[in-house]
Amino acid sequence: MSPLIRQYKDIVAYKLPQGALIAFHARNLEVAEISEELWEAFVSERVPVQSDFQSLQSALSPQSALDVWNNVDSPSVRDQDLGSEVKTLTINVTQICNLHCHYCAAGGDGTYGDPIRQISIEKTFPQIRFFMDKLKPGQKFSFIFLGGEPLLYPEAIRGIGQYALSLEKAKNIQVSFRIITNGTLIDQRFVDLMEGLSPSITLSMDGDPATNDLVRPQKNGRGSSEQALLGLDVLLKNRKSFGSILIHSVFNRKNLNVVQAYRFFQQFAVDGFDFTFDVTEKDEQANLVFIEQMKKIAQLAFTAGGESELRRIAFFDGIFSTLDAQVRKVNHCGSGKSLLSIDSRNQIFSCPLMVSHKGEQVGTGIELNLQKLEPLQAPLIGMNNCGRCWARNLCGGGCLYNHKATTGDAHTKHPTYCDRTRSLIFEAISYYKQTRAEGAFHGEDSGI
Amino acid sequence: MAKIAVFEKLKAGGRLATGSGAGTSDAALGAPSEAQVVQAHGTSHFLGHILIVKPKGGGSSSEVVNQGSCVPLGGD
Ligand code: SF4
Ligand code: SF4
Repeated sequence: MSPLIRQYKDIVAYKLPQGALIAFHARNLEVAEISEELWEAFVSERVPVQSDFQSLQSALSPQSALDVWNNVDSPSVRDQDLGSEVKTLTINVTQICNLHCHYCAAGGDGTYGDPIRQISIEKTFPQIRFFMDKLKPGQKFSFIFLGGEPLLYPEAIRGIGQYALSLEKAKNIQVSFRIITNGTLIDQRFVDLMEGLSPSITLSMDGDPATNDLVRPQKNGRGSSEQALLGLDVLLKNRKSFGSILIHSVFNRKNLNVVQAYRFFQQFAVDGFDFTFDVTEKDEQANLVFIEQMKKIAQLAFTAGGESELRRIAFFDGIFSTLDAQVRKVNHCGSGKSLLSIDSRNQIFSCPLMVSHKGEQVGTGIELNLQKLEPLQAPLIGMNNCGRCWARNLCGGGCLYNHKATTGDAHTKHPTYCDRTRSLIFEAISYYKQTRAEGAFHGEDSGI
Repeated sequence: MAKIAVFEKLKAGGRLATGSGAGTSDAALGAPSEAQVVQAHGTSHFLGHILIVKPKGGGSSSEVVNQGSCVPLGGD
């Protein structure tokens, strides 16, 4: 049964099936429990009040309380500040792949329509220096290596990584690396090549071997699971050589069994799981199933290990982090602001998935097209017309690529995107409430 | 009444706990800014209606900077 939802201006409230009433103040990022009387005030007639002290004094009725809460600004919350520098670069070290995943967002075969075997490391160095030079000592810079399959050219990861580390020392900038890989090429040679970089790894696998083999076959049609699991085993045996290890799974109408995937992955000592919905999928039924499956794994995780287990699932960790940091997430991602993407021709784009879109190119080498970048500098919740959406400061206006792929326009959301986002944010908020009010909750009364 | 008692108890552990009527101290709030005072007063008047849970704090804003849905861009 889905919860009943009521909204009054910036406050949304919902009644869980078990009767608990949870409210969320969208502007203040406040999670609250409310009384039955206040719940009724969401739908009763009211006389608006001001948020001055006089009206606070008289704010005894639930209706007035709701108005006052809506009007008061929390002093502890602030807007996300992405700064004016690029702090994350994604780099396609190759644009070919050894797999042929059915939903591949990189042109269907990892090439983005432009197969390139190897990036020029020499041409990449000046780009790295260009962006790192703009940072102040003490700032952080992260690299995400993508492909194609980046492990087809691990020497580039090593070369670029070592160069970045040499700049790190000279400039006192904290550098980190992450590699997004299908895992099939991870072996001892790769581990040795990565020495000194300690990259974090995101291994893409979409469920148990039978499921994964169907959606992520090799070029020859055979499954890729056996190789990927061997790769994962090598990673876990060399835990000390790597940062965090995540498993990333993509779901769409052809594969919606998130629960089964979660149960299968439980056996591996990884740091977390990122379960996402295919950025091009807009099937309503599939969307609903995905939402329900995500709720189920949240419940499984929370029952098994409380907050820490729940937060091994990236989505829930993200919402908890934002609520704890009390930072309004006005941008879903840093696309075109703090994040840029370099393809295997050293061309620059605003997002890793826009790489094949000529119109989206924002630079080449160390030349940036500021005119192209300028329109991307405004907060995404404004650009994407998120208006009074109660989830805006946790969602950040959503993924531009997803919007473009599902509606044809990067700033127009597909209803399935917002339904999914709001439903899962609801879920996260209710767990947040449970964990942060721990000990005080559970409805016990003092017998008064 | 029982429900209101629960709210009082919750309030004592909540971020906006305040001296007036709830039997708790303002100390946890530190030196309150004007806005905090307004909010704390608001909360005392909300007694029995709203309990704001306490964020753990310490979360870094950089964690929420680049998180996207394409690849896991955050979390490090
Ligand atoms: S993309 Fe949708 S869910 Fe996200 S903030 Fe905008 S309107 Fe809300
Ligand atoms: S717009 Fe979407 S695909 Fe592009 S960087 Fe942001 S989250 Fe990723």
